[in-house]
Amino acid sequence: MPVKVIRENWPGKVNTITLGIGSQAIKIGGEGAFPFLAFEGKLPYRPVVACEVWDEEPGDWPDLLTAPFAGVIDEPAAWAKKCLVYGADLICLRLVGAHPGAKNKSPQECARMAQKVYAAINIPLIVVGCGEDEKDAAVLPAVAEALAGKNCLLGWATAENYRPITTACNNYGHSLIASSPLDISLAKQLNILITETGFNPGSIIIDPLVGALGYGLEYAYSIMERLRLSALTGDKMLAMPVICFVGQETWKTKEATISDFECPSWGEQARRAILWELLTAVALTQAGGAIMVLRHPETVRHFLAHLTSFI
Amino acid sequence: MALTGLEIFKQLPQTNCKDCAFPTCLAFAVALASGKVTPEKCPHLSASARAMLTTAFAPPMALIKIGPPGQELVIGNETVLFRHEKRFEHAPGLAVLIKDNLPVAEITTKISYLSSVVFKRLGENYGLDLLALENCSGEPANFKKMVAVAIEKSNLPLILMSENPEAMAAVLSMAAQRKPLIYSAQSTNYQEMTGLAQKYNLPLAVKGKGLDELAALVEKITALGHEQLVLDTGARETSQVLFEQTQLRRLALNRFKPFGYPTIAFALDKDPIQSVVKAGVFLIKYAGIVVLTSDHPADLLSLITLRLNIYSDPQKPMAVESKIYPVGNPGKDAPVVITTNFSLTYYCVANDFEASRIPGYIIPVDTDGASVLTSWAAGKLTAEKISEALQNSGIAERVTHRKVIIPGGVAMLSKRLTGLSGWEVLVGPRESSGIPSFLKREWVP
Amino acid sequence: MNRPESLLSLNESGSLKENMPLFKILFLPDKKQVFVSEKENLLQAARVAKIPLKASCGGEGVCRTCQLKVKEGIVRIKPAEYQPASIKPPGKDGEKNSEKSGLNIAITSYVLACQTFPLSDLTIEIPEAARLTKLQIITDYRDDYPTDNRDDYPANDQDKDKNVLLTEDMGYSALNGEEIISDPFKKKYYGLAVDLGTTTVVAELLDLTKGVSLAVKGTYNQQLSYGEDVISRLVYAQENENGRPYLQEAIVDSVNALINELTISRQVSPFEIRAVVCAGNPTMTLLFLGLDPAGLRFEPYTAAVHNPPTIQAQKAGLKIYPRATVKFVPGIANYLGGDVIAGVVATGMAARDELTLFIDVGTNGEMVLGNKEWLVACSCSAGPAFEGSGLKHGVLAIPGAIDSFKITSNLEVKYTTIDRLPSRGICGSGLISCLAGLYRFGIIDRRGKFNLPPDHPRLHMVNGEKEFVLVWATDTGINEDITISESEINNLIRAKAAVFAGIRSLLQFLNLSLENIDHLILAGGFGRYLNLKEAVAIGMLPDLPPQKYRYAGNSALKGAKMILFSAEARKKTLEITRKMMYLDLSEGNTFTEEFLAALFIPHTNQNLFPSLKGG
Repeated sequence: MPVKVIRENWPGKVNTITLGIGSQAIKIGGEGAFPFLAFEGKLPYRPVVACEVWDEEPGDWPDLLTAPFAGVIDEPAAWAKKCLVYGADLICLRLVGAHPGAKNKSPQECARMAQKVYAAINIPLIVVGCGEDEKDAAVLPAVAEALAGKNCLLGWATAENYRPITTACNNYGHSLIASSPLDISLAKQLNILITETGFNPGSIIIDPLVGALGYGLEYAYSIMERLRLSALTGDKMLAMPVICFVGQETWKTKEATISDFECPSWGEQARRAILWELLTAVALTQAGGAIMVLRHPETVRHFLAHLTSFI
Repeated sequence: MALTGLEIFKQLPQTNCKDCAFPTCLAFAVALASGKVTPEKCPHLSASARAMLTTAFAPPMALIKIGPPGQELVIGNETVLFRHEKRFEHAPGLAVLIKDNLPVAEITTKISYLSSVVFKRLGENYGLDLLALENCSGEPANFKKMVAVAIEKSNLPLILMSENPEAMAAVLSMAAQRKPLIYSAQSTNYQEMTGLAQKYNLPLAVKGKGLDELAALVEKITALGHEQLVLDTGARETSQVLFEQTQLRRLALNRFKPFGYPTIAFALDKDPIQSVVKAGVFLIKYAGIVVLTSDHPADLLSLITLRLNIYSDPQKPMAVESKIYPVGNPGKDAPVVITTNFSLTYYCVANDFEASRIPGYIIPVDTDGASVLTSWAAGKLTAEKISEALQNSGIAERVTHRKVIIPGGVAMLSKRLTGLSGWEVLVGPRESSGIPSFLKREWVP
Repeated sequence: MNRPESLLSLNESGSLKENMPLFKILFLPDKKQVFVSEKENLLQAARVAKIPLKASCGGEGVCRTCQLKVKEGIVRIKPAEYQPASIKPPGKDGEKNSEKSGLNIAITSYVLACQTFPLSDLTIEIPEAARLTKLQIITDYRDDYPTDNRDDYPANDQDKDKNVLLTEDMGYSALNGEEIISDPFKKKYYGLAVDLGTTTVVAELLDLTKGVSLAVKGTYNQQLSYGEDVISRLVYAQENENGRPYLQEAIVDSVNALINELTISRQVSPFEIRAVVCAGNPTMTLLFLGLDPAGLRFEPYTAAVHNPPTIQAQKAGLKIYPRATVKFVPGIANYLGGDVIAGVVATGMAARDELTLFIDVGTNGEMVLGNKEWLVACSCSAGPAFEGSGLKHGVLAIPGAIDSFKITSNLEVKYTTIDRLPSRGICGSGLISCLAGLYRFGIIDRRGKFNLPPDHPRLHMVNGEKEFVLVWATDTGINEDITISESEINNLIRAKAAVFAGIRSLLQFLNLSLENIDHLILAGGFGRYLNLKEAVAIGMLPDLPPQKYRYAGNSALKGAKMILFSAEARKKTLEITRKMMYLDLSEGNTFTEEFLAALFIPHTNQNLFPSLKGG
């Protein structure tokens, strides 16, 4: 008995964004269907992995997470190079040291650091600030200028600080991460505000501030499904690809950080923590995430292996 | 084609008699439209309206129960493709596969362990849902031994896996009262398997090769009069399973009758981690039962957590966890602000607090996701609750002062809160937008 | 000491000791004098003197609206439990408080009335700012369109009202079966329709035998000095000993004052008023009846809201014919009372085929959607922003309140005020106009954040917050700049978002869209001066053709009057309460999502405002 399969005809698609330049450039987005449902729309580019590199040695990462970076964790350029070996598609440099509560590094210092990391790698670069709106508004324009023309992805632009960051990305040819908390309207509002400054909506990537497995994952999951649905039904202000800061969320959970013997019934930390990061990324990829920012090389390996099952 | 509340309303008597326990006919109509009640709850429906509504509200997917009453796994009755449209109704069952070619001692240990796995989350216990017992040795005797162990050592609902009707008949003679799922009826054995399922009134898994064969097989089995079915397309590759599961769900919602049943999917990769990943994908995308080989606690914990997340009800008011949320990098003399755990309220406060550029702490009191005045009005935001939150959060170790800022709307709780907690109470602004100027004006540690 | 008798019953502490000395408090410029003990604060003293003061927070020391000047005498200021750290005098000439042995002893200084107690005889000056001023009270009801040109409003049309009267049962309904016709003494029969509002109380004197209206008068609700909104009244009623009787007295006094005015103006004896119908929100209804409003907060919810008892005037404390019946229009839910039901009766929406949306925006935004088959109502907390509360320069619709702005492209600000008096603050319609203007000329962005260079002359930083100067001090009647801050704009956007989200939630509940609305009726004081275009431009009201909009004025009063006149209307009222369902917006996430989407000018989904596109 032949079954007539249901094929949706989507009028819209997700924007395609190129990151990096020349032979190093990669493309993301462009999907004309829900994740991995290639039978009803084009899915031209696979989801990609960005590995997180900090400008400062992380103080509170568990041993499990620092071990793969032994010897390079206090040297961001070397750390980034190590990530290439682990299979990263992009490097995500995080300027933790810029935070006023940490080292309060100057925008110039941050810009030099970004240049140094950029020079050490041959894949596209993401640079995110310290997460403090005001400081990021000062740091990111300096970074944008230092990396002028390199077509990087800079973040985070929020409703509070988007103006200077947008202007800098516009002037120096970078894409932009627009970050808003867990709501489709807030995401759209920020995209409209950014676009109304004259920025190309095709260079925006949405960061919906995802939660980790067990910690609000489902909110991000549904918002991302709705973002994809909006893009496919033709809402231009929601047709941006999505970036998920999975590592950052996962590695602060109890499940990823508690040792084997603090909770033996949960199984070994090595397996548990990797699975926590991995399943968060896998679930968010099913919801339509385009860039997964991960921390542990094992997670990266398994995640990339998982993606091959869809080829 | 779901009926809207107003379309249903037109079919109702419109007498507002309240016999359905709803205040008005319209309220009943809307509840009916959203699937919260069934048409019979209205005793005054005309015959034609009753027939029309009953057909319209027959669930597009059957409800299937596996296991003895009281311990059964319930799956099916799903009504949407995306959880945000309404919710996913019944969380899929997680099963671990056990093969009968293992030594009995090993089988016994495994079954005992799997049956005892318990994880606590948000005050509830979660564990494995099913044991999938596979007759992979081909020996009916081995199968019988394994099933006997399971019956003795475990209370979990069972999936009995054998293509051999004789082997199945043999184990059913002792296991039927446990209401197991029979896996599986295929084109070669469906008559015998259906016969067994009917004899014992058991759910039956139907395995076809691909969607076409599966649909044909289901029609044959339903023609024999059996309707408790679970579907398997036979695919095992992730992308193929995802495609077929999506089609099964879409077609079921489209009321394509042969696919109006929950499904079963297998994640049996050699690589144990990839097997968990696969199981995760199937949990998310539409399987009613997911079978995996791993029994590692970390694997089960992560999958059970994922299932809890995806099958939570998105219609419930979004609430944030009641704990300390630092704003910026607060020190020992940073202000402490109380609000409720309604996500919107919390985000307003967090946003405005951040705008003040004064680092501090927010403690959202658990008010079941209600806003400040709503929860005060319902007695969910009381001096007792705030005092408790101050104590349980451990904020006293983070700050050296003992001053707490409460929302201006509940100024009246001040005195009692001071008495209960011993903290000095400052009354903040009524609107969170007043926080920046309030802190600048009033905050002295 | 000479102790006026009436004082004893009015003392709020309720336990006046015989030997406690009383101090003489003289209030200026009113020249009213009262005697109170050291246990009574100045807010209570002013209540005794019948001088209504602002006390939005109900005397909690929080809102700082009750600032008075101590001209002579010594006072004790309550040790700051949760009193603001500093009390800043509004003028320049305030003298510093001195501190002595744990007590703040103030000599000639500005103080918060609710936190200040006499230690000697006092002379107190009440600044205008602390006074509840005369309000613009909506006493009329109408059926016309709000337009840009206010002169287009037709005068209140009495003939139209007569049309609703059914002469056969006229008066019969109100008197509950007491036959007027058979009355051998040909007595006069008058009735009183009352709108019991949180802020204002309006009463209309009716001749029941002739079926005509004689006069309408309004005043503020004296409960205002116990708190500005429903919640603070509920708190006062529950947290204070005798709170309930005081609040009851305040509202009953308000109605009696109106009765007095009305009967004098028409030379009618109050004892000829034989029937009263009141339409009020649930809190006002319960407080008028002296019932415990706790039932509004905790389950099981009070039944009195749904079916308030009919009582006799003497029991209600109304100074009319003692055995006159006092009825209340029933409500359907804790936050949806007789005022809204009366409004629905007045609009006639429950008898029409077409779909009507009825909106009454006050402290709460209540709305009803429906037609002759069904009715759904909801209440969305719009916040009191549109009544000027919570804003530094927000005022009720008093004379001198700015009710509209015109901002020009070179950022010049023009405005109009009520009664064309020097500006004293901004009222609800002025705030909407202000928001629309600020957005239109790019002074704020779509989220309400200022988008001006930091050195712009109209932009000030106060307490680290940006404020925009709308009117320079020299042009005002209060001698200070009239400003609006970023957080106040935020507040307004939240209020407008709540109204629009309420409308969308109601429609979505029944799978309807904005286009399905045939009539949109605005009621209450809010709609009075509203510029419809501006309300649509900020995304508060839906972008519907202007001819679908109507303004109903005081529909609660009109409904109460219809119920008083006509048995048919009473029957319909009961039908409406049976038919109407209440949608609790706190259930589910629809309202939250709609609210977030509406926190943008005009809205996140610009397709909902087609007429604003490209402009």
